[in-house]
Amino acid sequence: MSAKKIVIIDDDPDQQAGLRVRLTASGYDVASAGDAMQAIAVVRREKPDLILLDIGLPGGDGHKVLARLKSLGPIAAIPVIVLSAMEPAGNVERMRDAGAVAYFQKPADNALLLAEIRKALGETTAAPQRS
Amino acid sequence: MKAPIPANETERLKTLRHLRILDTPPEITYDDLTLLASEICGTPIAAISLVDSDRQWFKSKLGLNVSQTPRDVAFCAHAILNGGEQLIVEDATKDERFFDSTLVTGSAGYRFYAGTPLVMSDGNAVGTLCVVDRVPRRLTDSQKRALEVLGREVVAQMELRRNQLVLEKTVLALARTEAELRRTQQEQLDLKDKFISHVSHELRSPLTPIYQFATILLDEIAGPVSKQQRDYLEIILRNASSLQNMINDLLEVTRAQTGKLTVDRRRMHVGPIVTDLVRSLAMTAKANGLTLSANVEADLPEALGDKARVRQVVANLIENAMKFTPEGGAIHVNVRVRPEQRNAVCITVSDTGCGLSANDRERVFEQLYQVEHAGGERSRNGLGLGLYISKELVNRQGGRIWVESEKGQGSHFSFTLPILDLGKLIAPLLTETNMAKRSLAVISVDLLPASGPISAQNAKAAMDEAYEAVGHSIHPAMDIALPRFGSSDKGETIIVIAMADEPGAERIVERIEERLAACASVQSAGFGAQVTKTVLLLPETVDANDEEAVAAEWVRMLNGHVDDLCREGVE
Repeated sequence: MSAKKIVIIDDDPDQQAGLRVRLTASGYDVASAGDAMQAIAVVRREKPDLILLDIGLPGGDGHKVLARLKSLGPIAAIPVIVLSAMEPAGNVERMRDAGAVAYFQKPADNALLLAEIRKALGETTAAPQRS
Repeated sequence: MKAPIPANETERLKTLRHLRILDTPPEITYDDLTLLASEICGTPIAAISLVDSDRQWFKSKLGLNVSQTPRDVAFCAHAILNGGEQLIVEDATKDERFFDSTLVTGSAGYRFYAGTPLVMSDGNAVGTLCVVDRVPRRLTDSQKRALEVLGREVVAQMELRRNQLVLEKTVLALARTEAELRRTQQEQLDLKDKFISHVSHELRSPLTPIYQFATILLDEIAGPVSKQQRDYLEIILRNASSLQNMINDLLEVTRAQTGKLTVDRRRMHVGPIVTDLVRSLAMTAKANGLTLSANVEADLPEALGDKARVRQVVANLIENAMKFTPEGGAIHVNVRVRPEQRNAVCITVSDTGCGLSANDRERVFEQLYQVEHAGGERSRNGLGLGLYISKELVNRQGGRIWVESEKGQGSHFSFTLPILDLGKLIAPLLTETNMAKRSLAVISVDLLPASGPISAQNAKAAMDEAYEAVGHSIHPAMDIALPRFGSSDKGETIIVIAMADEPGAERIVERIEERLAACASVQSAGFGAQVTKTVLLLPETVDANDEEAVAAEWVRMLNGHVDDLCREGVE
């Protein structure tokens, strides 16, 4: 079975790189986008199994990106996990209502994040990795 | 003859207008003085006449049936020109100023007039106190003096009125300034809140890759790591995490100050939270050469609190204990109901650390307070906000936090959470008489700021007094006030369960409202109280003589209701 693909949408190259290394090491294929405009194009091209989305993005914030993702037929079904340095208060409900499956405040605990990713991908049988 | 206009007329009228007395209703204080003047001088007519620009208007009158006359014909218009001296006209028909006045020639038929000018403190004569008769007469010296004295009395009344007006204006201005100040304070707090939120977001961003790459290296994703490298990476990670904690604390404190520190109170068991925490922190304790243990009393009742917030407070107390306890020491967490306070669960974190001086004990819950560096202290990282936040959180959950400690003897930090065992609470009320009523009322008293924000100190005093007042408004054999669920400077909800029917409940509501209206600190702090009642009726199917069945049914009905109230309560 080929590796599942995850698209990271985050404007901070260092944070993007960190996540990419971490996810690759956990056996996922990773692609990324650095702004709102790119995000939709990359998701359309890559057709990932999961999306990790930041809220503070140049060219339209994560709330808008999420709404757009959920409005586009073929990609609306892809699970989205929100990762943000912003306060969860208010944002969690808003993102959940907009269709996100989970919300993590950065820096997110690796073990918890990976467990949530596996759950969203339907891979719950895999043993959790050490963070 | 028309009286000339005085030289100071503009100023005089200004003084008169400032009194805001023209065209006001009669007042007994003035009427009494008019009556005295007429009695003493033996005249059928007496008045307090105020000379306006084109009329004289009577603030008080006796024997007159008009409220004003034109200034042109007024005796008083002359009297105010008399340099403050009384004007006495013994027979108007023989006085060239008045013989042709319509008041003399007409049906009024005035003959005698004596008026003492009302000279205000600024020297302006605004009118007179005068006595009038239809026959010529003479005043004795003592009558003249009495008229003068009474005139001064009228002036004193009017001065009082003027001072009151000034005072009212000042009070109004003060209230406006206060409201303005409160608004500014709130604006500043909101601004600070926004600023801290922004800063914490910006600080978390670089922290994320630091944490991510340190763990990537530690997990050997980028290749093998030596023992020494691992140690160093762990130092990086530990410091990144302490930085993260500080950012969180900073946010919490700002939230506490702006009243946004939220607690979501539910009924909960404290035991599992404590044992779970102790288990997860045991490794860290062991690494520091400390033992960490917990003891949870069997059959603990449920407490009312926010699980995550209780966990946060206990974690903070244990982490503090670890910081200040030297290697080989022990930390113990005890959860129990203390015999001296049966309506609360008490959690105590004890250590064998350096202990606290009297000064430390007093100040340790203050913002930014850090205990002086001591020999056995492990590290001092942190902002000195942890205990302050803990105190805020405990208070908001209706509990109390305190410390017992002696220098060198270790410390015991304790906090309480209110118990909400409705069965136990209502048990004493289940008497035959009460049960026969088949009716029970839940009365909730919401104390909310009526206007602007209220300082934490005023709020606390007000709510303590309010709780006491509610306690005094109820009948101990029939009603109970539930333990307080928590308060903040944003308000509090006090709940009373009363063995009462609809009219009975209404009477309790009235008593509570009356008592609260009489609470000085509640009123002065600016709290408004809203008292609402819900009456619950025992279903027909339940036998009112069966104590057990009634208790079970009441508890069942109250459960849902009280939980709702707790949740609706203060944030």
